[in-house]
Amino acid sequence: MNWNTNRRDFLKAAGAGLAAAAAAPNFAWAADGDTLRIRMDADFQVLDPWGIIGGLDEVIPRCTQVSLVRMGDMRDGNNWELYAAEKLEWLDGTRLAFTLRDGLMWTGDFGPVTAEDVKFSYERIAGSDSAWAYQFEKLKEVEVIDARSGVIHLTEAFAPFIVIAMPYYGGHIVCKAAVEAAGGSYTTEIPAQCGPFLLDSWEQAQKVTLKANPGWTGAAPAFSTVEIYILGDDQAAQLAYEADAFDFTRIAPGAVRQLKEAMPEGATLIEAESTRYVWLTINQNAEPLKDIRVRQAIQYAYDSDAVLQGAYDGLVGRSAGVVQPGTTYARTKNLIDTRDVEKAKALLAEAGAEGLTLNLVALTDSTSQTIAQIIQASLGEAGITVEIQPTEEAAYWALGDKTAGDDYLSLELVLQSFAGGVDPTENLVWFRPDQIGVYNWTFFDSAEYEDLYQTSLTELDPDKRRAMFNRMEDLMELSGDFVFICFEPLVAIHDSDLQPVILADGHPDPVRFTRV
Amino acid sequence: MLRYAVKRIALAVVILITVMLAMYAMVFLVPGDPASLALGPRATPELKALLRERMGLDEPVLWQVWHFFRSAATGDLGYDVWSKRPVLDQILEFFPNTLILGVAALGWALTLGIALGATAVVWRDTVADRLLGILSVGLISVPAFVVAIYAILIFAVWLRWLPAIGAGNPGDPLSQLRALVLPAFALGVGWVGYLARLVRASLLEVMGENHIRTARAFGLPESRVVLRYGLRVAIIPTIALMAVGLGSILSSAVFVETVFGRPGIGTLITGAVQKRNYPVVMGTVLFMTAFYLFIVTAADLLIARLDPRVRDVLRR
Repeated sequence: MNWNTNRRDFLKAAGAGLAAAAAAPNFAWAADGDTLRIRMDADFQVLDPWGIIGGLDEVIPRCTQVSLVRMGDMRDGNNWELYAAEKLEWLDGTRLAFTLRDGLMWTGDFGPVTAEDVKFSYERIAGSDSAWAYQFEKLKEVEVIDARSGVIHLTEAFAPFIVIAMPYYGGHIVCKAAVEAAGGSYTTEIPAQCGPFLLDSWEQAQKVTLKANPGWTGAAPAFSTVEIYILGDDQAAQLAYEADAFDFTRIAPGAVRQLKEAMPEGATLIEAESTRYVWLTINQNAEPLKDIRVRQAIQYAYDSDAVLQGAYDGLVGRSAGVVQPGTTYARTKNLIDTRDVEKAKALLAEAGAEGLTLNLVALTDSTSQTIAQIIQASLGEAGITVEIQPTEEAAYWALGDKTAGDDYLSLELVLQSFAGGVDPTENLVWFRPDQIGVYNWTFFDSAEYEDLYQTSLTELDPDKRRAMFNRMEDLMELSGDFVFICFEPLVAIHDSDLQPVILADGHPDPVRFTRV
Repeated sequence: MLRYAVKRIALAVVILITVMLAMYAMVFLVPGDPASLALGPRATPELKALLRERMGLDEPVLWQVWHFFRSAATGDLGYDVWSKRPVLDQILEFFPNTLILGVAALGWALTLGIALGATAVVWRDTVADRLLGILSVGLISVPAFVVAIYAILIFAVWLRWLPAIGAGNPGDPLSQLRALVLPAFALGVGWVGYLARLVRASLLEVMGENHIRTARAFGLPESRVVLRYGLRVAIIPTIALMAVGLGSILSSAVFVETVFGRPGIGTLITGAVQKRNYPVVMGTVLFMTAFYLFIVTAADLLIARLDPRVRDVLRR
């Protein structure tokens, strides 16, 4: 056969090819309706609950393992529900009886999930050097009654044990036999799985694929495949979402305004308050800040509205402490709730601190720098000169660490934020006296605070706990060591026909995503 | 020539050792505790100490340097402190993605750049030459990440012809090829202009030489004189540039890899630096420096072999 071509034929063929490609809008992306595609900002590192570090480290075990209880969506109030346990009952203040659901099976011929596995999972973390050991601080032991039943013994009554210890992170149950066979711990290869999904493949730094577990006997998830794409940059993720690369992704809060003006077709925006709380540390140990009137002047000069508008587009309101606003235990408002620059000036004059210059440490990300600049401007109005010290993350975390040198003694102002937990004690723990030089960078040292903290752990009456937490936040504010800024917004975009479930840590639970 | 080759290789080894020593100095001079950063606010002092031990940071510095070089000489670049996977395995997994991206970017830039440069010379001092000059400088000026974002907007968001992220499915060359188009385009676009300018300048210089005058005296068409006799000599400087260019493209690939969510050496090293995962940082830097030095040294030796002027100098 002779193959003849000329310029005209070639142009015709090329034109037809291009037209065909243009007419096929899903040429590049054939989204499978049975596949859930979500995006996370970093790859996983360690899947063993003992050593979980980042977001995806936790999201994968949500799919491949089980926990006795699990939390509900953060937007519905962080309520817990039974999951691997079919029964959970306080026998008294320190004994919690559980019975596992029937039918939970490990992969790899490791048999059913047993109470012995629960005991192993909890006790290997309690008292160990795992970052999650704090979850099991009050655990004495797990007593195995039979294959599916056991009793969790605590060293003393600890009201929030169920929500702190059991739903996720260190609370995921691992297979004792499989983990021991793997040498006592594991990193990227799970020795035995039992959740609704199984880890199918991992393309490092690109994609994780999970497939429905054929041996799963619980409620079937809505999707047979979950693909988790790794993409670090929020703006690139937003573009990729618009190109139909995922069904769900978190995006930068700064993108909300633009998105509201031009929402991609068929997309829904989530705007919620995350559990990450932000505050300004005022170190009472630093020489220029030893006088409480100087610290109070900063509290009065701080311009909350400007920060919330400038850094967060007004997506969140001011926080009144480190307990999440809108929850049962939150304080309703700050003691110093209104800006008063004249009062700030008067306090500085009383303290003989006119012309004060302070150093403000803030991380280098754009939100932190924006907040720092607004604080600089607002304190400047009261006559305080603020010099901003942008600090890269590694150096930042060493600043308040007493084992890293003496810098922690003389830090002045630091813009800080921590990822919070569900129970207020998880957030308040970092400001106890024993945390000075660890994570309490203010030198806030209150015996009353410590007493209240200890009492709140064992108190079961919600009203009494609320009063305790509110008083603890009063004490923090009265010390002059804190300016509470906000709980950071959580912003995500997803397909309108998708119903996402986001847990208190801000990460999704793919198991419970459904199509509407 | 042999003496020259030995000298160039020895120099490459010295540079490699110097770079690694500088890296070690940076690791210890940069403030910040890697364990605190990596483990977050809830880490216990015991866990931080364990991590420092795992990274080998609890040993004396000189011992660490000696241990690193000794292990590297046997192909052992250590282990990732988190996943405990061998660093070399990770590099070998990621490097092909970056290399393919770099070669593809440079490949299309080279093809188009030479064509534009030669065209400008064929039509020198005409409107077309001036327009090509403006185009070349324009292409040099546009940052790769801007091109990347607009490329995604047009070809992935609007037209939906090409994927916005990823490196394609393993074992599916067509999907990998399609995932390569936009990143390679974004990465190479600046080099098109640069190469066009370089080829034009080099070609104009060559066009004044005796063998070109001879070709013209034989009455050959100008396009043939340029493309067949001029370009062959004028293209030699681009060989040296290609070596530098590939190194530069591999290092700037990090932006493109980030925007396109494409696994590669750039994302590997960026993530490792952010997490202070020192074995991965050191291993990757060593590997990339060695690769870069290999390319540059090979290019130098190739030029010495191809360019009679350099050959003459070496003979003297």
